[in-house]
Amino acid sequence: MIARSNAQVFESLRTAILRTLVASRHSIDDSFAALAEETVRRHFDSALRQMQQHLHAPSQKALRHFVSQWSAMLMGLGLVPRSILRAVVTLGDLVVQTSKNTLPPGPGTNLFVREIVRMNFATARELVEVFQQDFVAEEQSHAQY
Amino acid sequence: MPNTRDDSAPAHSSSTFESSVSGELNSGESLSDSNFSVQSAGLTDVGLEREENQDCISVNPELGVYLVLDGMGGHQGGATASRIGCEVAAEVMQHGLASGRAHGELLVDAAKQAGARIHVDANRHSELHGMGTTFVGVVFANPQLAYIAHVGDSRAYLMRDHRLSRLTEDHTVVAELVALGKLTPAQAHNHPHSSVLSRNLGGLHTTNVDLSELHLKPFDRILLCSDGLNGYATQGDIEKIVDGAILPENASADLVELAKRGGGGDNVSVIIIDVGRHNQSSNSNSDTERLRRDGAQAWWKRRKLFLRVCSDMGLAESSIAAGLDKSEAISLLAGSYCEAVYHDLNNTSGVHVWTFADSLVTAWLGKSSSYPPLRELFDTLRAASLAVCEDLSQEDQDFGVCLEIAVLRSLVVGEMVIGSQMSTRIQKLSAEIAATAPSTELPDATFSGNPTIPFGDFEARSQPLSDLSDDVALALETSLSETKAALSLDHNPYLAIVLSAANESALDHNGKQEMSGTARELYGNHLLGESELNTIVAALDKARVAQLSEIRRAPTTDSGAQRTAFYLLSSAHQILFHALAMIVIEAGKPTSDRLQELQQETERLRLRVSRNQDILAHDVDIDTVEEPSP
Repeated sequence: MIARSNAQVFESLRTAILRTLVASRHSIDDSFAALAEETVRRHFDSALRQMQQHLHAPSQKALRHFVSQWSAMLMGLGLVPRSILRAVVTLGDLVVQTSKNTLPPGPGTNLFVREIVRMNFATARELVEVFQQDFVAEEQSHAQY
Repeated sequence: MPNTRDDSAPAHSSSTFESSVSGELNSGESLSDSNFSVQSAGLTDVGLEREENQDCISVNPELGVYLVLDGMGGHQGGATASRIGCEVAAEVMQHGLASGRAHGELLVDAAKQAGARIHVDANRHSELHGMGTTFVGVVFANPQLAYIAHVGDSRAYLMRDHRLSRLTEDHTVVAELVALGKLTPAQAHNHPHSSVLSRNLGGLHTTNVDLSELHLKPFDRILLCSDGLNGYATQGDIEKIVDGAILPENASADLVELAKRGGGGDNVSVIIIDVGRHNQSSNSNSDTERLRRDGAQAWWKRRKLFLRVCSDMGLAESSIAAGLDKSEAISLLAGSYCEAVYHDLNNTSGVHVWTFADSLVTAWLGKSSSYPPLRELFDTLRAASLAVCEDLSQEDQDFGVCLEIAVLRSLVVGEMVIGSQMSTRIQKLSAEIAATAPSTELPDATFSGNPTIPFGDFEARSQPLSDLSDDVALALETSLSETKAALSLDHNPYLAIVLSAANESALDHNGKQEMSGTARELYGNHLLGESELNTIVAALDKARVAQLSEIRRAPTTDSGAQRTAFYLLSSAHQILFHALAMIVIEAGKPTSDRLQELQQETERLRLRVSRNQDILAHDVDIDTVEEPSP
């Protein structure tokens, strides 16, 4: 049997993860509870698709581009940076939990989960870098007044 | 070796109850079969600001009875009320279960009798006048059924399938006003009297007690707590700990620590009751169990390697370690982190790394706004952590991978802390800028402030949400559902987004802002080529035509409502189209500017070429021909 790639494994879990994410959005953060279900679904779906793309062809540049755009859109909906970061971390945790609960235990699953956690760390780091840039920009705006 | 959890526990007094039961409940149903067992642990703590612990808990695994009470009523009163309540309720439960009374009814009776006794004692002793207590209790009727009774704002939660859900509604004045529709949830959240109870045990001789049934599944975990927990920790953080900790005693200790980390302004009490969870931990979670058992030891065994890598990477030279000698710096930064990871591995939690990172980041950002040293420090800690995992992989590759997963999650916690602190600083700065900005007018260049397509009346809606009649809202909702059904076979991926956004906008007089977001998402989320843009435009057309047709077709007795709905919906579609057009223009502007420049440059060169051709045609000296400028 041909071993499935990480992206293929992720694809098989994506729908279930999205369903759980949308259903449990209230526990991510209060601000997610205030958003319409469809809005939350759209944003998490795009994040999950990006994760799958990253597993298929890792690119730090593409990840940075996505993180920057994704966070800007969520901020446009009124979310603060903390809530967005919390969403990213929750997303990673949920993928890990779903993988552990769904996939057969063993070294293959552990290697897959490690890739997920590595990606989750990289995403969180990129997000923090984006916030840092925002902070510097805010400081510059502040200096103008 | 680092301290054990007991050794490192804070000095102030805590009461701990831990239990594990695999026997018979008095209902006669077995708890010891292979599919079911109950483990529980409870902890109550005075917190960081109060002088006296006025909470009281009771953990009785033999009877399957668990109680949390949070007393109130000044000095002595609160502690006395919760203690009396706990003792009376526990006694009533014991006698009632022995005589075979129904579990749910008995639990309610226990709470009521406790309230009556507190009321009587409060009236007898003037110094105890006005005392009372909250109450939340669980009794197991059989392995699949429990009853929950509560009064006040102590809570019960259920963790099932990695999701934490609240089982009780607080009995507060504000919550009841929300239920009556006199306050919105947002108003309630900031209400100055949000914690004033509408019910307690002891205030009156008789009190209404809420009772609910809980049908249990294997691996369910129940949390009972006083408001000293949920008042000082978010539900997300509580969920992580309740979900992640293997043993109930770890979960309860970490929850108390979480509340203290959040300020610890009140007494905090928690009880964790697991249903069959230890079976899970020994089967599907064997990696987690192994990490807890052996991973922490394997990590600690390689502590020297961790410190050496940190030292070799120049951690002591970091500006964060300025003023410390090398060994102090390594011990304080790398040593503390290493110990925090050890404790978190041991307890299957992230609390210790969070505490380490939070203290460090708060202290650093408090005196400097420089982020790069923090990033470098965490990069060093990451490199050293991965070196430890690599070393372990030489012995056992799969276990090395498991440890890497765990330490990477610790590092994610570190990023979370840094990001949270930045979030606070950004919000603070934004608020300051908003307060000092000279004008609130948007600059002309702002997308939503400079429409290029005149919308006339569509720009300013005269129909605020509160004026929308039920008929209009119904017409819009019906149109949406009918359109979705009519277009269900259309595979255009943007249709659903457009339909929902237009409908939301029509229902909401602030919809224009949302449209900017929707348009940005439609365009910006997909690196668009011409064909995808066409697909979006097709979705806009189809959605508009179909939704407006459905509005026309809708059977309604109120033609005014139909007209209003038609007007709002067509306005919403125009705004969405406008927003998308602006996004496209905005995205294409740099290219368009460059094209203009190129056009001018081409024109200039064409002129020169034509002039040179004239010169050459007249057989003039070649030296007079103009060179093209660079």
